[in-house]
Amino acid sequence: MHRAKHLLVSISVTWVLVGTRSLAQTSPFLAIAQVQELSRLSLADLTRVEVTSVSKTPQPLNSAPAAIYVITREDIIRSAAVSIPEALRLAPNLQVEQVSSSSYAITARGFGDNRSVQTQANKLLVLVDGRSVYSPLFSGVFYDAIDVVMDDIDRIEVISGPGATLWGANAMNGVINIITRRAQETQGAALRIDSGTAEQAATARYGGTAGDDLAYRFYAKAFDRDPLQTPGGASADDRWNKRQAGGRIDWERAANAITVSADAYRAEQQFPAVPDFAISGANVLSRWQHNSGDSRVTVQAYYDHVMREAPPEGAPFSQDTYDLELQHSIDFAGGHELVWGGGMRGNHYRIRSNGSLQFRPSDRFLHLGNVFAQHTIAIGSFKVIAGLKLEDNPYSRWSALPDLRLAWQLSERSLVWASASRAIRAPTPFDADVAEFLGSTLFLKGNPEFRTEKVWDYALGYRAQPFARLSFSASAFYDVYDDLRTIEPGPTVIPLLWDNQMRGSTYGIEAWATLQLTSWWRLSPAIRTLHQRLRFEDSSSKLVGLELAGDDPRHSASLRSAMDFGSRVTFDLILRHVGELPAPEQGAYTELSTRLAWRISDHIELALAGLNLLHHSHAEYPVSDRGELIERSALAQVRFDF
Amino acid sequence: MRKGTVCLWDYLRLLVSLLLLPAFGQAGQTATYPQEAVKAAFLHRFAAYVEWPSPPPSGAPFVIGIYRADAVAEQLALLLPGLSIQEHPAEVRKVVRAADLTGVQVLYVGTGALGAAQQLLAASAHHQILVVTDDEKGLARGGVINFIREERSVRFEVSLPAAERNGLKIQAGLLSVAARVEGDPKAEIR
Repeated sequence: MHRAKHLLVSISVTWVLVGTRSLAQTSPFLAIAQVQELSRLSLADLTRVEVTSVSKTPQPLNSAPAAIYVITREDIIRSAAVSIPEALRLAPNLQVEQVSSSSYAITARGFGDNRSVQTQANKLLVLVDGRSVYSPLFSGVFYDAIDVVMDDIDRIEVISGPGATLWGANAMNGVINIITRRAQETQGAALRIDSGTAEQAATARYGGTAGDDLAYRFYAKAFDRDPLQTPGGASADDRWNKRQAGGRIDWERAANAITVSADAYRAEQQFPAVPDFAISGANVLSRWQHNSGDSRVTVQAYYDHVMREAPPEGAPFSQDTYDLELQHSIDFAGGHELVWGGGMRGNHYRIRSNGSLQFRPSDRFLHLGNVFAQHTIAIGSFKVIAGLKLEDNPYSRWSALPDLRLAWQLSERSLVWASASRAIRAPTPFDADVAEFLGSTLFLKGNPEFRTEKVWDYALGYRAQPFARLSFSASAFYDVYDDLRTIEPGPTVIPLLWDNQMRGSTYGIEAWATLQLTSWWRLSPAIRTLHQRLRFEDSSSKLVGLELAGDDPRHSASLRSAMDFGSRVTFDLILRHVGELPAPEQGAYTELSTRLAWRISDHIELALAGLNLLHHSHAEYPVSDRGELIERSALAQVRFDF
Repeated sequence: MRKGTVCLWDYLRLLVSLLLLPAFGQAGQTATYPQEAVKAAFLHRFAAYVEWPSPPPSGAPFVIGIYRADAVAEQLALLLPGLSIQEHPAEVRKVVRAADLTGVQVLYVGTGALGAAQQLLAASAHHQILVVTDDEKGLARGGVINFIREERSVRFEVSLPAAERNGLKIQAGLLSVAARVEGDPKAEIR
């Protein structure tokens, strides 16, 4: 009894004290005191006032009529993500599977990897500061080639569904737009060291200014990432390391801004039983933006060089990309905005054919072009966006990509949107020019008549902030696909040919919310479902089966908890569940990651993270298809800022 | 249960709750404010650094207009009573259409409302209004001052060409605190 009474007393004391803290946000009396305190501060002091730190809540609703999720810099830091693919796990509208130490399968709305039948996710557009990084050879993405200084990321915008008119080619099922901060925002020296059971990394960055208008930064980073495990528990022998350096200059004066950035990298990857192979690359990008009030012009050009050695069954290649883009937007007649522009891209690739995988021709210059226009009309609380993009590719030539979106701002705190748009995946050398051999027999051949894969996407979404502490976004999509890739017998049965004999539809929901429970505790639940109804055309041989379209979980869910203990200590938990993969089969998994960080002073932060804590190891990609096991790991991070 | 063990248990319990208290207490102690409250305070402060060609007649209120930002309007309604701006009693007014702009000195356009506010913005130039926006494209779309959200604070940028267009003079005290000044004559000369 005695014990129970004391317990009750101490709990209620705690409750009263904690309770008043949360009341402070709501009581009008306290609110007035707060506001009056603010009214006495000078302008300079106001700029230093700390605003509610984990502030998804007070932020305005995103008014974009699309299923867009924005991963913030803070989200990335608090997740302890050491790479872009790991950071992408934070987007509830993406499906992220780690296959090996350096390889990931990432997609939106299904059509992920099923490598046993040569299917790799190929319907996403991935941009790093405006530079497209999907490979023109097969429309997929080599995620081991993409890296930035993680702490310099401003945000990653993830759009599921066709990427409207404004985005570049291949935005069929989604767009991942990685945006780093301007040089003006990355001033001073920063050093970060990550050391853990699976990762050793160091990053150094220095930013400075020259005069009032010009800011710059330079960085260098290196990491060494441990191998994953084979299903038997042995090392998968796929350790890899990477060195990367680069910089960015931002010049801004009056209505003009010029950005120049460049990066270069080299990575070495182990592969079981063969010599290590290297990937390397370099790029340089420049962008001019002119902003004269109601007219804005952007001109951007970049060059990107990629060189990949490959394990024995792959084909090493080099590739040079030249890209020029222009965009002009004009506001007129109150509430109208017209954006128009165009772009040209040249890809020159050289593939060294090995015995079993060849490309014919092995040296080729691909030319892509596009023109687009998009008109936005704001009428009262309605916004209508209508756009059309015409895209030209060397295989199937011109395609029309129309896009219609409607947003209805019901109130300051709620928005309904709807959209209908068409998108394509253009044929690639892998679809049209490939020649695969079994021994000396030509077994599978690219199809010069291969058509674009097409989708019509219909989506409906609702975003709201019913209370100051709760905001959510929910959207449903219905996608109708046609001309998806299949394998068909050729005129003489062998060689087989790629063809376009699959069609069907997918539908599902993508929803996420942010609940600011107290001023120091935020919860973010999210869920995604996917239903696929695909079928072969009657004329198809139905070879291999519908698994050709990928191997996707029907649902996944996550829950993130972010706690701030004062302004110096943060504690985060991320729980994620991914449903089973149907064929090849791989069981569902649930994993938990956590991070505790302590900002010791204005210059030093220490953090300790535990990743994938629930199991000794788990697989995200079918082990029957060479998926490897990811072990539980720990990571310590130290950041110095000066 | 024996008394001795009960006491030990109680002390442990008390110790734990005492340990927890500072942690929980601290969360509130580092004074953090909702950003709407901070923006409201800014809107009130800005006026001290701006010269209007024709200030309100004596006795008339100094009006801060708010377009589609209820939370900021609520904070201003808490803040302004009893305060004066340039020796006029300060007042907040929700603005819906251009006609509401009569007598308004400062207009705040909420985030996400910029597209719908184009007519208001056009009209505000004639009314010599200090337009404060809250959008990445704020200055480009006619804002004189635009809020910028930094990681843990709110800052602002200023467009001198926009100020001139609206007939306003902005004092150096405001410019020196701004994160960025567009059309800074010092920068132009160099």
